[in-house]
Amino acid sequence: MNKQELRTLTGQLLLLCAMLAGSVVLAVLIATQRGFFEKFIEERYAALPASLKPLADAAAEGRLDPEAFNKLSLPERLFLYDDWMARPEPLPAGTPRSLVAADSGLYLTRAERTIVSGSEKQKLRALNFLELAGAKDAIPILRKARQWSIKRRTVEITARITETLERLERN
Amino acid sequence: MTENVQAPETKLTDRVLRLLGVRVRPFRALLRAYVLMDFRSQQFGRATASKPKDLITPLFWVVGQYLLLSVIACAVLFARVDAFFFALVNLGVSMLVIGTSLIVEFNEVVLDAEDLNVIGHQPVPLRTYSAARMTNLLGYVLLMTVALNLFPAIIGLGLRDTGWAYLPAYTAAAFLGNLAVVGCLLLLYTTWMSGRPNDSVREVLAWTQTILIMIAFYGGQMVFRDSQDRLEMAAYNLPDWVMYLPPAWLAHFVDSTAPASAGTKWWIPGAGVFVNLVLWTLVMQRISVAYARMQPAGTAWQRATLPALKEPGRLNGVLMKWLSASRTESAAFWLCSTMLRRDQDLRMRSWPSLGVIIAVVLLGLFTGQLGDPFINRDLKTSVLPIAALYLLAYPLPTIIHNLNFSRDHAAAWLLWSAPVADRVAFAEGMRKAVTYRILMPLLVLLLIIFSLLWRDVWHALFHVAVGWLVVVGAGHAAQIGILRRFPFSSAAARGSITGSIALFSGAVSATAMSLAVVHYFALGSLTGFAVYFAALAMLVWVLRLFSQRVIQQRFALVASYE
Repeated sequence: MNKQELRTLTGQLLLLCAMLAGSVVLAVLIATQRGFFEKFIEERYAALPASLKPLADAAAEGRLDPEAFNKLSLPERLFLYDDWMARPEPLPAGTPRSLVAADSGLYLTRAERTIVSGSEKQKLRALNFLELAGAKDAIPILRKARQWSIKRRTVEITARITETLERLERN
Repeated sequence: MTENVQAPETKLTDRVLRLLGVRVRPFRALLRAYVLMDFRSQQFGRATASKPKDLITPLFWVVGQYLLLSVIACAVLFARVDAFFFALVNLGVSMLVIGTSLIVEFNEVVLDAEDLNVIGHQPVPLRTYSAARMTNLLGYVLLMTVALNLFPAIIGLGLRDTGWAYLPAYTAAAFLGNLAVVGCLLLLYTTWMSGRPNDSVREVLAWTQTILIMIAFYGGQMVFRDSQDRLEMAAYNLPDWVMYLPPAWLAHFVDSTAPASAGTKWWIPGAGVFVNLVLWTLVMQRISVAYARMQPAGTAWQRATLPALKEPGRLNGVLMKWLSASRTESAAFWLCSTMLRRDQDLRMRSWPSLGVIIAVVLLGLFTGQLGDPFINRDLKTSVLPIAALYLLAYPLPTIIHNLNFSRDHAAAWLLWSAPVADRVAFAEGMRKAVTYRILMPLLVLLLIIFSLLWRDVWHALFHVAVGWLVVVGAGHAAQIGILRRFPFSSAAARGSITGSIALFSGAVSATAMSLAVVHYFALGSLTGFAVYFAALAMLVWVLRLFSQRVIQQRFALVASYE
C-alpha cells in the first residue's frame, strides 16, 4: 500500500486498525509479564540514624525507655520499624513487642501497609513482626488482610496470614 | 462508494434501515461523507494547519493519546491493586475522558446548523439525516471507547484475581458506562440548552472540565509522588462513598466475574442496558426534535440580529498604548482580547490547558510542598514551585493554536483585505493578548501565593520573574511553530484541538521541563541563579529574533492556506 492509498478513507482506517493491533500486542505482552511488574513492588527502608541506634538496641532487648521514645517524632519512630524490617537474619525477637507496646496504632498500621504494598519477602517479615508483637489488636488487621489475600489469590501469603492469625487467636 | 450506495436491497442492514424508516442510499452517502470529513477535515482542512501530504491525522493522534493515557494508568495500577480497583480507576478515567472529549471536541457536531448549507436543499428526510448523524456519533464514541479501554481490558487479564470472564465483562462495562455518559451529555445539551447552546451553561461546562482535569492531574501527581503507598492503601481501604459512583457499580460487576467471587452480579449490566435504552430513546427523540428545528429562522439557526455585546476596551485606550508598540500590534491585541472574552468556544478550548498549573499549585498547597527554593533546596519542597513556573509554557501553544479557529471563520476575509503590512507586529499583538490577558493574571496570582507562603516578597518576585521569561519564551516558540495564519480564519474540526499540535506542545513542554532541572541546580548559589536568569533572558531574546524571521517568511501567506 503506497502513501496515496494510505490517504484514502480505507487507508486511514487501516492505519488506525494497525495502531490498535499494535496496542493489543503490547497489552498482551504486559498482561503476561506480571512477574516483571511485581519485582518493582517493594518498600524502601531508611537507614537508622546513629542517634537512634541505642534506642533500637534497647527495643531489641525489651528495655525500651518510654520517656525517650515519647520524645521521638513520627518519622523517627518509623525509623525503628524500618531498621527491624531491613536487618539481616536473625531478627531481634524483642523489638516488635517493645515497639507495639510503645505505640500500638502506629506500628500495627505500618505493618499492615507492608502486608499490602511490600514485596513477598517484606510481607512475610511484617507478618512475623505482628506475630512477635503478640498484640490482640492485630487480629482484625490480619482477618481483613486474609480476605484480601484470598481474593488476590496470593496462596503463600494467605497460608502465612492464616497461621499467624491462628497463633494470635490461640494466645 | 458507488458500490456501497447501490448496495443490493436484500442486505440485512438495508432491511433494518428501511424498517426504521431510514432511506438507505442517502444514509450511506451521508455516513460515508461524515466519516470522510472526520479524517479529511483534519488532515487536509485548514483547521489543523496540517499539510496535504501528512499521513497522520489529528484523529489518529487523539486515539494515540488515549491509548497512551490508558497504558500509563494500567502500568501504574498493574500488579499493585486488586481487580475491583483496577476496573474502577480505568472505567472512571474512560467515562471522564469520553465526557470531556465530547464537550471539547465534539459538541458542535451534535447540532451543526452549517449542515443545512450543504444538504438543506437535498431531498434528505429528517429521519435519515438523524440516523446518519447518530451513527457517526456512535462510531466516534465506539472508537474512543476502544482506545481508552483496550489496554485495561487486556492487561486486567494478567491480574492475580481475574479470570477469562474479565475481558467480556470489562468490555461490556466500558461500553455501558461510556454510552451512558455520552447519552447524559447529549440529553443535557438538547434539553437544557434547547438545541442551541446557552453561553452561560457552556461556560459552566468549560470550567467543570477544567476542574475535572485538575482533579485528574492532582490524583495522578499524588500517585507518582507519594512515598506512603497511598495508591495501594486507597485500594485496600476504599472509602464507602466511592461505592455510590457509577464506575464503582460497573467495577463491582467486573469484579464479580473473578474466580474467587461469590457469583456474577448480572443485575448490574442488566440495569445498565435498561438505563442506556431509556437514555438513548430520549436522546434520539430530543436530537430529532433539535434537527427538525434546524432550519432558517429555527432555534438552531443563527439569529439574523445579534444582541449588542459589551465593548472590551478601546483600540486607542491607555492599556493598549502601554502594552503595544504600534497600531497594527494594537489591532491584533484588541481582536484577540475581544475574542478571548466573547467567544465561548475559544474559552472552552483554552481554559483546560491552565488546569495543570492550578493543579500543581493546589497539590503544593495541600501537601505543604511549596517551599521557598532559594532557602531550602530539598527536592520534596522545591520541585513544585519550580514546576509551576515551567508548566506555564504548556498552555501557550494550545491557546495560540486555538486562536486559529472560529465558528465565524468566513469573516477572515476582513483580515485579508485589511492593510496589515507589518505581519510581525500583528503576530506580536496576538502573542501579547494571550500573555497579558490570560497568563499575566496567573503569574500575579502565583506571586501573591508565593509571597504569602514564603513571607519574602523579593524571593517571590525573582521566582515569578523566571516564570515571566518562560511565558514570553514559550510565546515566541509558539509563534515559530504554530502561527501561520490570520487568527479565527479556520473552522474547528474534530481532533484538531488536541491532535495536530500534540508533538509541538510536547517539545515545548519537554524543553521547559529540562530548563526547570537547570533552574533547580542553578539555585545552589546566588551567582548561579543570576547566570541562569541572564542565560534564560538571552534565550528568550534569541527566540524573539528567530520568531520575527519566521513570521516574516511564513505568517499569513496565501500558501499557508492551501
